[in-house]
Amino acid sequence: MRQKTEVSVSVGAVLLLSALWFFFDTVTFLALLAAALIHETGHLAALSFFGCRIAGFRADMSGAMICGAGSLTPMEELCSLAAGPALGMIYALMASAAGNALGSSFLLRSAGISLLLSVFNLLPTQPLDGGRLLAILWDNPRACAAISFAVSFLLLGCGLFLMAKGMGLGLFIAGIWLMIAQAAL
Amino acid sequence: MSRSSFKGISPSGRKYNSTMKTNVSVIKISKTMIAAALFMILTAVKLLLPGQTEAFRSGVREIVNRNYDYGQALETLGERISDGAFIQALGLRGRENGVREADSVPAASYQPVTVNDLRGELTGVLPRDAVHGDYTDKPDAEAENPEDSSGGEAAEETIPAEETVPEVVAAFLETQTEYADYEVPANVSYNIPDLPFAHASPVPSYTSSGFGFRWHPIHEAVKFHYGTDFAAYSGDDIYAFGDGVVSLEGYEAGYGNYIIIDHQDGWKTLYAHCSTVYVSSGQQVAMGDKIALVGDTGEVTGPHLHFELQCNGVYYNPEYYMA
Repeated sequence: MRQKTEVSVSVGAVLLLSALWFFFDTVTFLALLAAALIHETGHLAALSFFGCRIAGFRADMSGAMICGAGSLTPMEELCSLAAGPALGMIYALMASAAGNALGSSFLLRSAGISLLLSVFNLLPTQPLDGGRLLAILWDNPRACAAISFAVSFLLLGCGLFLMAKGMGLGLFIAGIWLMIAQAAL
Repeated sequence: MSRSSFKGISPSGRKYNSTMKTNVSVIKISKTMIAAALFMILTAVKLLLPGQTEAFRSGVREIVNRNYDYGQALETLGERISDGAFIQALGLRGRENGVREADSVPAASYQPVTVNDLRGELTGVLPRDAVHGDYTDKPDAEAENPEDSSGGEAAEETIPAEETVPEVVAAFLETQTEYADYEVPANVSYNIPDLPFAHASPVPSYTSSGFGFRWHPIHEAVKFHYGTDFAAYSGDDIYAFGDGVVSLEGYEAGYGNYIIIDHQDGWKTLYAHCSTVYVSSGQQVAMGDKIALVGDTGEVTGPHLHFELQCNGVYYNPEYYMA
């Protein structure tokens, strides 16, 4: 008896994608897509390695997410969560070396984005990988929610500081996005 | 916790199935807190950073273009990841290092394509005739222009003073011949269109670093310079280039304190690295009004005025219009 793999893309995901498309130039946008794809591939590879059936792929306002069905031990779950950022960092190294050798602006950018994406995803805040890792390590939803809130608040603060220093709106927008994503959880 | 958390964090909050009742209130409270925090932060932004808020009003595009260049920053980060220090810090590559560094010539990452990518995104929205029919494609043709300028059908509308103009342009192109290998960014024109408003020099001074390709003193690479640098002392007066409205007054890491003035018909001027700014967004200014003082804020090697002239996203050489 074979179950269907559910793929769902919400309105929020479309909005997010179009906003990114609007704000970034073409090269940066494609580089971002490549980095995101590598990241999800990391999760996917780990899940299949642990023999977990892929129940679905969901994209919404808070990004892309792979839904696994079946039971994983907490250790396996930890590894699956960490696999995304890990592969992202490996990719960043390789793309950077290749980009420097070939003088490819696209590869260099996707390397930079991939590194940032991996580090960002490891922040201990929901719905990022880091927040989910924390939820596994510390089975206390109340505390995890508090930490999530504190981290995104801190991020907003840093974003505000950078904005005032003339370094752009990027981190600030990321902070706002995190807060909205948490409110929607 | 044997259930996969991949399933658990569905937006509908199914994760908390087992402990639903206790958690609903927690979630509700935190949602309210988040909403309140967002509101407070946005209010703070509005009150503390009026310049940035004004920027939103003066067009989202403007913000994207004027703000921190994330594309470049990400690319630089990408370059650094695999250079010696980073790799050695991670302990992943030891003696291979020297070989790799020799392989990747630093200049390779500063191809004209890069410059083009950074600013050239406007190509799609440029008025076609503003980019086409200029001198960018044929720097060698400058000598011919003064002779057969009488028969320039296309040039007629954009170049009224046919006698003198090509000489100015020719003199400029002369300075750019050594960069002939570099592709001129798409949002740049070497033309000298007639300005629809009276104008005057923003500082009584001389050019220290002109428009066009140049060796960037801080980035240590050939980069396109979108404006003209005027040598000046800190505290010298900066005057409005023409009548107009201040569309943006703010601070950016590269530009330092800067002002953008909207003139007629899509023409804009930018004044960067100011020490003091005397005008604010939305203010009306007249030609020759004192708007700021020269300074060394932002990315500079010393005090000067960086002055840009653009029309609907196309950058022109400001030196053409200096007395």
